[in-house]
Amino acid sequence: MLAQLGAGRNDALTPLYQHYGGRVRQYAFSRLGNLEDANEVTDDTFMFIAQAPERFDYSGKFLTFLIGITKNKCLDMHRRRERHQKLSDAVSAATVTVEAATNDLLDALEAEERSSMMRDCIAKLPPSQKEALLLVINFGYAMQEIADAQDCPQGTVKSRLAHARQKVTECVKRKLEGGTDE
Amino acid sequence: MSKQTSTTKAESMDVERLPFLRNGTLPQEAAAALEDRIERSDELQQIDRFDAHIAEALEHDPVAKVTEEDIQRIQQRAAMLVRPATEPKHSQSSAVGWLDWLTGSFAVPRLAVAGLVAVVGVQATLLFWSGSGNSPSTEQPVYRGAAQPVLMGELLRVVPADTVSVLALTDLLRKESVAIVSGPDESGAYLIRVPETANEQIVMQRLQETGVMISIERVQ
Repeated sequence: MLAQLGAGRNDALTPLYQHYGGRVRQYAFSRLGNLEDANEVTDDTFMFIAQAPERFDYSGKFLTFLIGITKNKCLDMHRRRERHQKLSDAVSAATVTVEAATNDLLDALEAEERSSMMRDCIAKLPPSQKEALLLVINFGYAMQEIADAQDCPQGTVKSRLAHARQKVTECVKRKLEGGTDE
Repeated sequence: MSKQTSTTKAESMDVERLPFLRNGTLPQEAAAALEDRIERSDELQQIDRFDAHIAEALEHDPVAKVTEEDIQRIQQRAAMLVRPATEPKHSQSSAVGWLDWLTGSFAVPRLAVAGLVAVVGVQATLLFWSGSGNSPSTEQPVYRGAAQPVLMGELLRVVPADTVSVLALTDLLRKESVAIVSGPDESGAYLIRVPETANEQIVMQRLQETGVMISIERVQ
């Protein structure tokens, strides 16, 4: 498809978008927290590929290449809108204990309701933690790949993931107990 | 002392590694050791169970679903794109295979163009045969592969997917009465000969339709 794009076949973009578009948007959404912005960044990412498919040099994973572009597009959007997010990550890894009862209650829910609840809690995470979670769980990144993507040491990645899990656990528990999750 | 604060450093490391065990990026030895410890630790089991719920939620995230509206939007933008034709860079690495196979493209630029020309040639010929008379859009500069006259008994160069065994390939070609002349070469390509009694275009189309050929091209 990249060869076809390089040869001027713009319609070759469609199957690429169908295959990777969802994950790119999910990643953009995790960084921007706004679906409209995520859509714009996703489309811009694929238009960039369409305009310059030769930028992919086949030395790494195509998804990693795509996510790298998406990340830059997200940063551009931040700059354009003059948003400055201060990311705070504790250096020490958080400890977390998940009670069996929490898992049992989650299992008892319908899959759709359970996923929706989890996503609500994930959406409340700071962008860097959400991004780390997405990269490891959905995109299959190794520890060092996440560290490279986030420009931070591996220890920070571990910390972000641990904090993310801890916060999601606490949020879910509050929801299951019928309380507010704010 | 609570259970949470009694977590040892080793256990803490295990917790950190759980997501990487789940996504398959943990080295094999470390993964086996961790799986063993999970079996013996109720705490790790519960965290892993919770991680599965997180994974499920992310996997079924509606944001990650590409809709028809998305496709239409990107197609409209792509249709307006004007860009001089260039060919992407390629390394000699075999690492390109998965992407090109996935997207139905080809690993080597010359093959990509030749393969495209072959496919377009078949399509153009079929259009001609069907009497539709429709020519491809002039906005698509790549449609430069006009249908070649059908030549009988020609040699074809085919590159099967690397998942196809020689036996399976031989069987496949035998069904089309096509013989392997030589191969595979360094790039995994075979030279095959279409018998004079067969229609080369149809053979090429059938081979394309098997879904196991990365490229099919005529040998000049």
